[in-house]
Amino acid sequence: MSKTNDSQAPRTRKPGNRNGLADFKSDIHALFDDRSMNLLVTVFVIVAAVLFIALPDFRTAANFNSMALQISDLGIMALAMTVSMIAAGIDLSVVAVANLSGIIGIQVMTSMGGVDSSPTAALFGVLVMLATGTLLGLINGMLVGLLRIPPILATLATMTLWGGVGTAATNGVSISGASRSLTDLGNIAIFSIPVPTLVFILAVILVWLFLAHTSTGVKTYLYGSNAKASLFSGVNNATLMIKVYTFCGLLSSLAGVVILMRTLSASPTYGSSYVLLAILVAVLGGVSVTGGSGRVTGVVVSLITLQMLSTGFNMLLVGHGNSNFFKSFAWGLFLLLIVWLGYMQDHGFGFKPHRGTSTNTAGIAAKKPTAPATPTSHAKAG
Amino acid sequence: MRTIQQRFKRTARTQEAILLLVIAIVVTLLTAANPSFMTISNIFDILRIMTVSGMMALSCLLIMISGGVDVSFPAVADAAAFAGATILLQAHFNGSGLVLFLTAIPLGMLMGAINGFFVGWFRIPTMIVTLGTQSLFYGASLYFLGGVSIFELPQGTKDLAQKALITVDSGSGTSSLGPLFLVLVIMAIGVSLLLHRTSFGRSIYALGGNEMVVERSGINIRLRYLCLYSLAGAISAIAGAANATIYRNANPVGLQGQEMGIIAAVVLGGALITGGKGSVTGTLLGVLLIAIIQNSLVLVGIPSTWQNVVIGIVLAAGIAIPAVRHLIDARNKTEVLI
Repeated sequence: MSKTNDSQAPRTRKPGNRNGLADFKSDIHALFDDRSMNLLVTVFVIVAAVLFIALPDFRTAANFNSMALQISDLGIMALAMTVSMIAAGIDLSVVAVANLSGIIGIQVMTSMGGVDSSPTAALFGVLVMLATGTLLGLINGMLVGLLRIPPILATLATMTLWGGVGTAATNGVSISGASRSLTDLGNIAIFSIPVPTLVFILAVILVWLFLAHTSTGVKTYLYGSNAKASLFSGVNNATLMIKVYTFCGLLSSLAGVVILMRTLSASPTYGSSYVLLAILVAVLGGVSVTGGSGRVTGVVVSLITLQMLSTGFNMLLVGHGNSNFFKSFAWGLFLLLIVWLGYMQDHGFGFKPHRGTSTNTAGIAAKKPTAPATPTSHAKAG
Repeated sequence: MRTIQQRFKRTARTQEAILLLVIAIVVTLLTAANPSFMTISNIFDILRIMTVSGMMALSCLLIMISGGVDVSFPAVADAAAFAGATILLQAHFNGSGLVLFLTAIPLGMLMGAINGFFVGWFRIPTMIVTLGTQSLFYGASLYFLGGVSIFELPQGTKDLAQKALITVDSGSGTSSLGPLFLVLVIMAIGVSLLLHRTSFGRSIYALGGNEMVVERSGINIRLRYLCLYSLAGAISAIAGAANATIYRNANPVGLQGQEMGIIAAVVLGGALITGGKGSVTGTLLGVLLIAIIQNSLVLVGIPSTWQNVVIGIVLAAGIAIPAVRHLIDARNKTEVLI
């Protein structure tokens, strides 16, 4: 087996068998081959440049600090959404899981001494929150994997249910009482990066490792692009779905921890627009809406772009009506624009009828004109 | 004899029959717990709650049968009614209550057509498109038209709100049911006829079953999607105008956040979220069950904060039970499950 693998080494590179500079070059090349990524980076650079030049308030350290804080909780939820969308599903319950685990965490910390409780109590509370998220994710995973309920439906039900449990537990109001040793972390910066942002960076690394460096991650991509092929190549789809949604639940509860750090409270109705925003971030970041493709880099770039736009709107629209309403309008427009551009990239700028569901294959074929020559040369040699 | 038995078995296993049974049990329990549940005024209250959500559910059902999950119908309803009321206010119109509906419907159709355009032309999943347009419609109506409810509705609208279709004189006073419930009944019959008696309706089921086959059979599916989503938009707009009429103000976010409850009702009613299956009867029964839960939990001493827990449990059960049944059926046939 290993011999056949070695003979294919130039094509299927293994992580342990890297070829230094050549691999690095091909990595860079692969990065620029991704056309949706190129579009995204272009948008990012333009938005950043315009805001830098036009708004003096934008290029202050205080603003960057506040932007870094603001992306942290939405960012982690967007990562959870990304993972579920790569698996050709969707996790609508991310916000509900984050809020419910926050509520449970606060109740645990309150019972252990409230605001003045010890760091141990805070740590225990955080662990309980993460365990809650994992358990709720596991329930999603079992509904999707074992009962074969479409993810959108399963997570719709759990979203309603956990939202309802949160409302029932708090009477619908926001509760506080999280340990100060946890909430103080929200104001601390390490190497001038706020701690919530560090948690987000940790989540980014975690998701990147999961997707790119574990066999479960690779199987997730396979399942997302073709569940039947995944089954027939020996993947246990049910177990895979349980793993994927459990991971999403864990990430959601991590977002709940960050919300606690930032807002010092938990509420069953916090961040109700975050489901849309998380999907927007993922789609804008190049995650395919039909599953099977998407990468963490794109999601991070799209998250920062959206946050810059949001901050820019806030600064520009002072005194011109409610900027939140305008943002809602702009996000909707942005999402439609991005999916339209993505479609146009795949199908060409025209209104010809198209059949079937083609993805990026057209783009890859255009980039490598030498590819069709290889089979012929093989045939001649044979 | 056997055929009758078989037919009975088949009917008894449909989602509608199960739902009817569940509603009967819930109603019996509620009446046993609190006799005031079965009073005519409470029943009218439930039907009033049902009016607007039933109309939105019809819109949601049409899209779901075609294989999409629409989350923008509350936004379409609110934006159409709010923009319509704004136009009437600007024009100082003070006539018939029907005009609000007639202004809202084209606006709703336009918004539906935007959804349909993106779904039909770009083959983007409905859920993604409508998440975007929901945000777009709410944002546009709030930012460009101002976020303040309009209470100065035309005189005709105010009159319509006070009209009664049926008035029943019970001991403690009169309770009445407005004419808009009749509109829901007419719309339900209309949608049912459309789905089962027209080729357009059959093609909606076909789109949800297998889009490719519909295309190969020579139907212009882009146009079908455009028409279907425009129709759904028009129905949502009627729901929005009805909501404004019943509550006597055009609130730009009056129905916000109701989409999940309505989708839950439609799914409970037996519609497949992946498309190709769904009925008007089932949908209305689903809406009725949710309306009973929303209206009556307080009557039996369950705090209103528990409402979503109960709805969530009902929804989870309504999804999980057919899924388990399907799984067992499939296992008996030793099918390969994908």
